[in-house]
Amino acid sequence: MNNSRALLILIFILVFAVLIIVRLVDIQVIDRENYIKLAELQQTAIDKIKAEQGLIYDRNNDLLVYNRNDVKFYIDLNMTKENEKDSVASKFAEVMGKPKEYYLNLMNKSKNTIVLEKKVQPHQFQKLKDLDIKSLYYRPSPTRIYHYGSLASHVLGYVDQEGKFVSGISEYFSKDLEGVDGYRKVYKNSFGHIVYYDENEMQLPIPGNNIFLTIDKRYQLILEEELNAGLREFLAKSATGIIMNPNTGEILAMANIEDYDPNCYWQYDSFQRRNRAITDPYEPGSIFKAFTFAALIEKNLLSLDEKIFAENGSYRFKNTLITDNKSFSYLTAREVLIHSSNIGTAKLSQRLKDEYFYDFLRRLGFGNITSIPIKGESPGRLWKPNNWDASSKPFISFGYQINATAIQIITAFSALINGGILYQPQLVSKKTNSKGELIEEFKPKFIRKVISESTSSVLRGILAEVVKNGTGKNASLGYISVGGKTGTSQKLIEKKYSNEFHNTSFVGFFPVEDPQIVILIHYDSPQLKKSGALVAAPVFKRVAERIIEKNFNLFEKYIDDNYKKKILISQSKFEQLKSDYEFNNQSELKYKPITFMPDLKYKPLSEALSILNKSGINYKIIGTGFVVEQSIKAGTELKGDEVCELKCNSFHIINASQR
Amino acid sequence: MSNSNKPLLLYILLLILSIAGFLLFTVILKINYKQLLMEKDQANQEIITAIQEQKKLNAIYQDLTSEDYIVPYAQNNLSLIKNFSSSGLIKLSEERIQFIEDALSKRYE
Repeated sequence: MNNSRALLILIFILVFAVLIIVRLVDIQVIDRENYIKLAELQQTAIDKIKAEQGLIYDRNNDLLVYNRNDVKFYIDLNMTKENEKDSVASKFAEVMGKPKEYYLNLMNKSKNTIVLEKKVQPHQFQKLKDLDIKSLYYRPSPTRIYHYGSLASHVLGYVDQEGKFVSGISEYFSKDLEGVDGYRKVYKNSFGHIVYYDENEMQLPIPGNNIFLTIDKRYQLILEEELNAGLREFLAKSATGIIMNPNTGEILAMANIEDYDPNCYWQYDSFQRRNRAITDPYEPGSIFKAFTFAALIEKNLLSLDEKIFAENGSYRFKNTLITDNKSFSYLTAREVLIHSSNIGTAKLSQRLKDEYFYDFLRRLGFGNITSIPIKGESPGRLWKPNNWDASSKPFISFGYQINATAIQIITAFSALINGGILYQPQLVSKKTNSKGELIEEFKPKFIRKVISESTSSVLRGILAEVVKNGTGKNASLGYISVGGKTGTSQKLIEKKYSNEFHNTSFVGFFPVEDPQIVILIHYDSPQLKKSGALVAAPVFKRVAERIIEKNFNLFEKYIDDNYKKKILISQSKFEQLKSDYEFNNQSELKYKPITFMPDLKYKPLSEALSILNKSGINYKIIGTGFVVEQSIKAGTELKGDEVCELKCNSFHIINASQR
Repeated sequence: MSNSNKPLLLYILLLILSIAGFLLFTVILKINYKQLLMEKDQANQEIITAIQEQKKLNAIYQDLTSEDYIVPYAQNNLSLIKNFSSSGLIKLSEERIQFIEDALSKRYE
């Protein structure tokens, strides 16, 4: 019996063994391929190796945009124990500087895999990677850093959350900047962690190319600061400015205020993110008279000294009223442009044939995109002559019934003053690979010759007079020759020209004898003053002054010797200096006595010290930067032996890389 | 089992042990290789991060050494003012200069 029972067990074991062997044969031999595929699917994956994106530099090799290898942390809550949650929350709170409760709440809200942190910087990652929690894992999350925040944001563009380049030079050169992603076959454990990768099935990524812009960071900063100051001063809706080298078409600065910070682009609306200098055309107003005059001079249709009757400020032309801001009886043709007479320009424009005028403007690039390497450019609007009515030509002659973007205007204006050559606006000077080897160099792109050298020379002379004696006086620098033209146009709102909202602009250049810089300033709907002469021209002046000061060596040869000193020490500072001192008969220098404590609050420390030194008040300083507190109250009568304690706050630069 | 079979069995056992040892060695080697590969990958990542850090520091250096940063900092925080020496010239006689020098050395001796 025992033997038979043993036999039964043996048979049972044998049958079981046979079954296992059959199953093994099925798995290992018959259905081998399927199981191999299944195992591969579960254990292996093709891991993309993201190529490092190209860097962006300005024309002086100053780095504007670079990358940072951040990581994104996930946690699989199905596989996380309660005590693990607590240690994860504690560690993340310590490293990331957020409350522990924040992470605990996050983990208690869900039972699936969640993102714990989207952007963990490398130094933070070093502290977090040693957390030995199996369900916690991370993936690379590359971040693009715009070092100077909003500086040149409309030129640079940004990277969206999917890692796609959006707008600006980044979008246009996305193929260059992106590089080529690599891949590798990786083997993962049951938690999804990579345990091994196959070197034979791996393709290394090719980093993106570096882009060098024609933008000068220093000019860009000046332009943005002055546009901003003007925006606040005149309470305008928006401001646009472009600085260009008229002899090459290189854009040295391009800005729109308001703008945005590409590091946190999602906080801004589409208006702030739009590069209005290329997307938003407007009626340029009197700036356009310069183009009308170019057409007339080129065809020898006027003599600059001939007299034009300006109708004493009001002129009815074929049932349309044309007015001037100032009433003139007779003006020479030259004075028509200098004093910006609409009536005079409209009358002169009648000498131009419709087809010729249209063709001339088309040749200058109006009604067509400039092909600047930024997507979304508007061609503006220039109707064909067969769509013109009786008033079209005179109105176009002084900048109405035509729409143009700021980039079109400055590009065409550059052609007027550089000897007549139209250049394509240039934003990129060269491309290099990640090793710094030159791939492509961009040269100025000649489009066509639009006017003769002599026409250009005559125009430069008249435009210089506009600044010297005409509507552009507020742009005059005195020590260097400046030419330019103001422009003001009423805005077309619901098919009616508004008396309240205007486009005010000024386009100017210097030095007149050898133009090196052209600047266009445009303010949309300023509330306090409403003409290009009062709003845009002073801003042009401030930008030009600062550019000359910044690049004094370049402009020194054009500067009047008598005025050189005035650049170094502005008149106002000199007067201030003189008034601070008294000279007695013995030619001894004495300070004016100050008997009351001055108000130093919120003044820079340098200014506060200057005042205290001059007044002979003893002081003690705590901190640096700006004065936030003074121990002697402003207005207190002084005896002469007081010590004033100044508390100052520190001054920190916070750049994007520290965000 | 006859005595003559004993060495053969011993050889077979040794062979099996050798093969097992070799296989074990191969497996250890492979595990080690995989570990080294992962370490290499990590080192590569660290190099990339270090290069990026270098680029960032370079950008900060360019920022901090630019005139746009130094001049306002010097004016606001260090109370320095621009040197306008070329804007004016004071002419004094030699006797006067000597007198000033004497006065200064007397006071600050």
